[in-house]
Amino acid sequence: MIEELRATLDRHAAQVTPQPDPYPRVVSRHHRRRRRVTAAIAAVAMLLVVAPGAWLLGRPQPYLPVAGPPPAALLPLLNSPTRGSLAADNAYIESLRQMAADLAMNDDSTGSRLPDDPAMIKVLFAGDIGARRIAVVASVDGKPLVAAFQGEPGDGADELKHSMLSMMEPALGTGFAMGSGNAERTFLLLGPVGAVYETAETRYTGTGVKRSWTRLDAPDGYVGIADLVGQQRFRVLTGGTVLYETEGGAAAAPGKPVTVDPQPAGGRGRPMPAAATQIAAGLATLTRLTGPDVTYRVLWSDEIDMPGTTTGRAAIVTVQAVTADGGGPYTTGTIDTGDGSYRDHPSGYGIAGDVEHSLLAMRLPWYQVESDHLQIVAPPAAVRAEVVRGAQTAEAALVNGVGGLAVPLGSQLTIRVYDAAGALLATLEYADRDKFGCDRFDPAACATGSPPPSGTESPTAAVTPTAVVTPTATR
Amino acid sequence: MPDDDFQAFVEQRYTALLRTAYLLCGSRDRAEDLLQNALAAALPKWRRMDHPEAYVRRIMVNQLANDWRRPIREIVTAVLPDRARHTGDAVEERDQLWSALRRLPVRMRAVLVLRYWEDRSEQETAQILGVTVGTVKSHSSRGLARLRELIEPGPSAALTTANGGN
Repeated sequence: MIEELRATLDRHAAQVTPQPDPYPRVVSRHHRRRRRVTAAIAAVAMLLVVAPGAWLLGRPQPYLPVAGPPPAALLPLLNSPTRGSLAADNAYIESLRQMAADLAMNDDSTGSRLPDDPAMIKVLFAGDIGARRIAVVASVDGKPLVAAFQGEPGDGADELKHSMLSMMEPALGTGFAMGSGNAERTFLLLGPVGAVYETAETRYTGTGVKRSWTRLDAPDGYVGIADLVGQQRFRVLTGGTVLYETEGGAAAAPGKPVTVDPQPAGGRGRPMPAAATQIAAGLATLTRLTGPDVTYRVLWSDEIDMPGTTTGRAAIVTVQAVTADGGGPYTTGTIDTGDGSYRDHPSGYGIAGDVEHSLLAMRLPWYQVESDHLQIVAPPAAVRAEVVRGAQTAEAALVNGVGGLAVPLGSQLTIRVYDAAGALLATLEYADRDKFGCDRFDPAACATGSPPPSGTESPTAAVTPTAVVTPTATR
Repeated sequence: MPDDDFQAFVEQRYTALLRTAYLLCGSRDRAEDLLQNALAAALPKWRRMDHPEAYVRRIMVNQLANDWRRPIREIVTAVLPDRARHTGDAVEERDQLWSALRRLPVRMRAVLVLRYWEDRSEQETAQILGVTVGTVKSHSSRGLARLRELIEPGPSAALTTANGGN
């Protein structure tokens, strides 16, 4: 066998001849890569909608199998029967478990991985959804991970490609896309047996986010959408409790350019036109607020020192989508003035009312090390901020409502701002957060592990998953 | 940024590396793309590298193994491929061992290519791929076993006699 293999490899290798001028092409490719990376980072960072489940690939501290029983919250899903059109095919299920274990055994990276013992792997889903064959497996150990694989109908377990590895949650929502040029996306929503699945229409206003939920038909115990159009929100409930909430699909860029006046409202900072346009476009993508009754404004912008950037400086802009009631969601981003790379911070997102009454506080995005600087963006008439942390009170001077001070990370604060006459203009209860909730603008709107939060509407009649349509422009 | 030593390395080793790339991926166009990407990644680190060939090989294997992380895209090459060279594809499709090799997982295929085509030792193969010698042994034995399984005549398999049997 070995000699025949050598002969086969020799024969095929000998047929290969390089295209001309390899070295100039390498140099050219190197330069193209640098330009492409620089130009793409900001746009990609804004367009990606990160699911709340931690994406483990490339994580500096890998998750490795941990001995012990799985957390109780995960047992309902782990103990549920395998779902999907191949669930009853015992040989296929066994080959999936073996394949997943082999993958872990052969994983030479230092990254997170599943156990290499098939006995510790549970197949949660195996079957065909539309033109995809999907398999989802989980590790049954003290810190379960979940992995997804995809291929074409008819593919054996060994032919499926690994497409996702994540920490396991009480339910799962994951998409399977073949490529950036292909709008088709297969989506799987999988909860414990008996779970209820819902999808939402979302509406942002100046006071918060409102969602109306519609129950999805799941006769086989899961929701499989062959071609998910646009981006949609889903949740999984058992016994009236929300187990899991996520966004599925891809946020599409707004159909027309988003215009934003780069002059910061109330003279709060300096105009950063290019950054403002870019961040406004990202906000429009995330919220799909593009209707004629929506405008975009800069709440604050400036150029600031930013360690870790190529120039040591970054443009920072807070942009708000202004809905009919005068407020709406906002986001804050920094753009390296040198290479254009983009950063944001969970605390830089939120929902605010009008400029004259809204008080915002946030940590700054960072490139090298997180700063303890707390940024305050207050009504333009504010000249002083009072920051209360436990029994301690600190003050910061504000210029046109803008200022900041050092506050230890992980703080819970009460912030009050005053005008020149000493009148209280606004108060804000602020708590640091270092990760995104499943709704980055209003994390409290989708707290899981509890009954549906107020502000959500009762589900309407069940619809079939394929009947799910693109959300309306009110979203 | 361009470096005379790097240029010499590319010009001297390009064909050999391209052939390795081809054996890893099974497509001439993809092989050029793999190698060009690996060399472009190596360029800025060139001065700090002790074993550039090993680095380039490892990058190529990792790139193939991680293909699922990236969207599928059209491969754009600076020079249009010479279509005449593709007339061998029909022969390739009839080459059962070659076809079987292409069905192996990337890292298993890489072990077989490095061990039996480049005649690397288990230790060298492990160093190139950044794995343990045990992994190389395991991939090697299982890879050969898998190849045997794949080319064994099945009840409905249409075999070519040229490559059947061992």
